[in-house]
Amino acid sequence: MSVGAGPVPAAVLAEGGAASLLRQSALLAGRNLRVALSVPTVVGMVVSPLLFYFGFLAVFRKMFQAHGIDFGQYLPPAIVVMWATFTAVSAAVLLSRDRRGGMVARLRSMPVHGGAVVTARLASDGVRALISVCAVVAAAHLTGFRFATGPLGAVAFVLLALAFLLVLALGTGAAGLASSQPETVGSTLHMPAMPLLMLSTAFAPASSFPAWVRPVVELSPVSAVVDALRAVADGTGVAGAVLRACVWLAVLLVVFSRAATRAYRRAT
Amino acid sequence: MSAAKVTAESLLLAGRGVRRFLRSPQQLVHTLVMPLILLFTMLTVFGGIVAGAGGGPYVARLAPAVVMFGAASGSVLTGVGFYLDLNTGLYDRFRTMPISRASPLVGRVLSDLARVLLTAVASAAAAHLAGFRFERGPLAALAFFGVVLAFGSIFMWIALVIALTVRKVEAIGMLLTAPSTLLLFFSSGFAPKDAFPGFLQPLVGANPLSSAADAAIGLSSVGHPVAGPVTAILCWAFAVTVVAVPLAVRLYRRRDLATLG
Repeated sequence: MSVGAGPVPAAVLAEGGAASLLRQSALLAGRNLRVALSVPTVVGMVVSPLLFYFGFLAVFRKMFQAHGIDFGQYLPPAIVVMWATFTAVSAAVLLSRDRRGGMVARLRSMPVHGGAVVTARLASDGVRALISVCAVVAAAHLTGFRFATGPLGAVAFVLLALAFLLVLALGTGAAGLASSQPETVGSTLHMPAMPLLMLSTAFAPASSFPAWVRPVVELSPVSAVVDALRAVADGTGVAGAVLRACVWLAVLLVVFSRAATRAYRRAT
Repeated sequence: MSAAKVTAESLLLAGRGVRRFLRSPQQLVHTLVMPLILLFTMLTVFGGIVAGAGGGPYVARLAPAVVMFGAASGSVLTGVGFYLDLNTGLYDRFRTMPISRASPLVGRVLSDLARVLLTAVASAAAAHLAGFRFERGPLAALAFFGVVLAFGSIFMWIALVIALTVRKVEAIGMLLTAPSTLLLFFSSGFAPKDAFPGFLQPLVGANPLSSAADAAIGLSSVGHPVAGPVTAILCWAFAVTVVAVPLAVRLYRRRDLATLG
């Protein structure tokens, strides 16, 4: 029972059971992270979000001040959600690349738990997003971003951001598994991502939008999550905002996990 | 090798470049749709916040900025396209044929400048729907697109040098996208210079994208300066051309010698 580089304990190779799912996912997540440990991805994880943070801050801080909004406190949740979205898109691209390269087919031919590929993808993307979130929060702290709710609020903030990423990555992952053309997956998912992010309360309050898009902005799941992140950081109206975000995430979780399961079964 | 022959060959290859662009949905999306998404989302999200701060409607500032950013980010296509032509055997094939060494490079430059112009015209036309107008008449409008070409050529030559230098095709996108995004943010394209914190204002003023955007704003909207920013962007284009063109030509020729052994 040896696979490639070295012997694998027999206990790891089993198609059933929670224990083998856990161990195999950890193994594959480690592999995913090693694949991601190149200069472009590190730039994408840390440098780019900071670039966007400081960029938006420099451009719009004074103008938001004129409207009575402290942009240094307002903006970080937007960048966090933006980066969670980009991480989810890149998860789809990487899954699609694994499918094209034969990695998915290979793993399916082996005694590996059916859920391990997707679980491992989610786990490694969670780690990538965690690094981005921490980088943004740390940089934002320098420019005046504060958790009025203390360390507990900070933990809730990070958890909520990760929950958003994981749910979204299930959906994009389904798209990634459905196609063996990573480039197409990337450009197709990037296009709706931008309007989805912008037409929400992420970058500006709903009241500043033209009246005809305001309903879209208010209904958007991105708004729900961003508002909850802000509520957790500011300590105002936490329960309601978090509840609304959780309802949205639960609905999306049901839809996306079914899509991901189906896409994985069909992927060859 | 006559100049007429090089011209004919270059135009033929430029035609190939333009046709390839027009027939690639992915490239069309990258250069035509993405700038429009950027324009309309920025306008919707920040129009309410910016209104009044810069004088005049936000689209008068944003549309030129988006056109310039399109020219800058489109250079990724120049870099990747040239890299693939160089490294997948097309240019080796050309060398076995009785055509000038210069023609493939000149053809690439012509086709990519045509693409920059085409996408700028398309973006400006779409911005018209959002209220963007050429208030200064047709001659100024022509000069507007001249500024786009001058600014686009800066990034195009840099992209050609990068394509001749890198080993991996993935590096091209990163080397061009990150700087053009950085230039876009810290420019007077999204907001006038005065809106930036004091210590950033000199940087914003020196940014070539600021000069290009300011020149384009001046050439399209009444009441903004023209001469200063136009001079600045022409100086930028001249400076980059003087350095990057000989460098690209040298790298291109050295490549010939290296492969011929």
